Amino acid sequence: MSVIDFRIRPPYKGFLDAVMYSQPERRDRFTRQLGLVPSRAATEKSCELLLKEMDEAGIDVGVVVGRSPGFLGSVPNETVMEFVKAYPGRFHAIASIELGDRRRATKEIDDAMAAGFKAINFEPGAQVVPLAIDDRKLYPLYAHCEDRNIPMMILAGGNAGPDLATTTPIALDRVLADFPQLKIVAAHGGWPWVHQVLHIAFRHPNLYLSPDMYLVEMPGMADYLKAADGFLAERFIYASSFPLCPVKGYFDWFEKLPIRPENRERILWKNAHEFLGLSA
Amino acid sequence: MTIIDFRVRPPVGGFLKMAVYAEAPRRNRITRIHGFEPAASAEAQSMPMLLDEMDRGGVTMGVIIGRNSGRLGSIDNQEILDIVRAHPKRFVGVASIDPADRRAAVAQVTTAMANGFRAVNIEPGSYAVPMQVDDRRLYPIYAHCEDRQIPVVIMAGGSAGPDLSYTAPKHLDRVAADFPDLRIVVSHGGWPWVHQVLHIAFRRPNVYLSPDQYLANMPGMDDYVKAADGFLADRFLYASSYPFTPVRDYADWFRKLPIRPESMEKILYRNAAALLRINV
Repeated sequence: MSVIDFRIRPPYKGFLDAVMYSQPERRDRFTRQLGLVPSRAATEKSCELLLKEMDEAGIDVGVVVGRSPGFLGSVPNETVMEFVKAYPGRFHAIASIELGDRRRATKEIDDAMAAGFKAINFEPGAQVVPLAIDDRKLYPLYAHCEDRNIPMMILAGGNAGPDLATTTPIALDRVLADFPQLKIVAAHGGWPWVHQVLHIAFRHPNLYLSPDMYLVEMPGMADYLKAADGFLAERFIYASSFPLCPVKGYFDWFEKLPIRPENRERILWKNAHEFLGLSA
Repeated sequence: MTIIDFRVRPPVGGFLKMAVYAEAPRRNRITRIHGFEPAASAEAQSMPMLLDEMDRGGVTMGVIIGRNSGRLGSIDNQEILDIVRAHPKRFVGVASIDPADRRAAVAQVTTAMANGFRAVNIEPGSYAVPMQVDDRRLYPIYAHCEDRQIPVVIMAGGSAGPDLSYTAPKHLDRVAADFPDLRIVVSHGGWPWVHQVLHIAFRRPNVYLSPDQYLANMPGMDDYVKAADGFLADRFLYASSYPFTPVRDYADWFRKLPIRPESMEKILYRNAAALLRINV
């Protein structure tokens, strides 16, 4: 069976400056809190070990997301594309956009899609000047993506901004309602607003959830899983958040979850495949 | 002297169903508050009489601004087009849009500009579901107009919405800041927030003020006039708001204001001619 891991941060260039690699003890503590064992690919910062681990877990493809400057660090889109091209067929790239200037952001989006990125990532709460997900300044950009059928990832969960208000699903709810044809995957799955984000996903068919590392034995897990094996089966997307979770350890853990085979196949591969427009 | 009157509602078609004509006693009371006697053309609802009053007042052209409002009634863009085409040397049109659906609104803008309209009118507080001027749902429409150098008339003054908050200039300030190349005409001139809107106009070179009827003998008049003859001389637009004030008497009154001839010429027609691409 094919598997797409929707969130992998490889130990490569700019990623190494982010806290997930520059503060390994913090990362490993996080990993162990989830009940998983840190990956050797992470501790040894080895891309070759990462590929080996993917092979061992049966992960065909990983999705690599850039990061525009802010408190979470910065990984230029060029770095992401360079990495993806270094391992043909093994990774897809999602471009992150710096959100301050509308016209520059619009150009960044167009350039990225022309360069082969499969989707566009916004991290409004992580900008140098944090924005709410429904900030009015983002609306022309959402419209731009909706009009061009560009799928979007939004960091909407976990430590997405300076405080809990950043992840409030109210803002996401508005964007989904105002741009009904815009497909949005919520990275970190809207956690910890589990019930609320599941309500929004129930209500808006353009929302996809990828709770990634925040799924693992975290509060709300049972509700996510019930939705994943129910109404959300076509919009739940598998992701490890490597290196915060080991690619293989996460997969082995996921394998044991009570999800029916037909839905498992969707969650592990088909949903992501369709979301990124790879079927065509 | 040539005059472009930036706000004229002629007594024809759908305008006759609006409160400005249908509720003549109310209108005339307002006319007298501004210090004028009602225009004979308004009382008789006569287009030939209006054209005659325009001639006598030296008003070469009138700008007809449409309306799409739940609260204040609507004038279809086609009706305005019919008036403009019947009197091509005397009127130009500004099209109104329904912002409820972003894509439909953008299509309306495109159609209107192709049909010869000179600008787009947005009345956020007067829509069936009132919006603030900086409502996020208007942002893609503002972006569209900014990118195509289409001037926008925003009703942000007077009785523009259900309560005073709908004319609060901070909303206008944000839009002017977020779309620095969008030329914004503030109809009703931001009144009664005279000092605040003059601050915004001082700060934002893309903001034009047209206090129209709210200039005439109203609180703040002296400050408007001083700005009109000073820093705002290139961005102040003459308008009568006919039939709330009579086109001819308003012109006679306006010409006596303490404004130097070179500023007066800009205010009476040069500013509007440049903004709307009118050759006079």
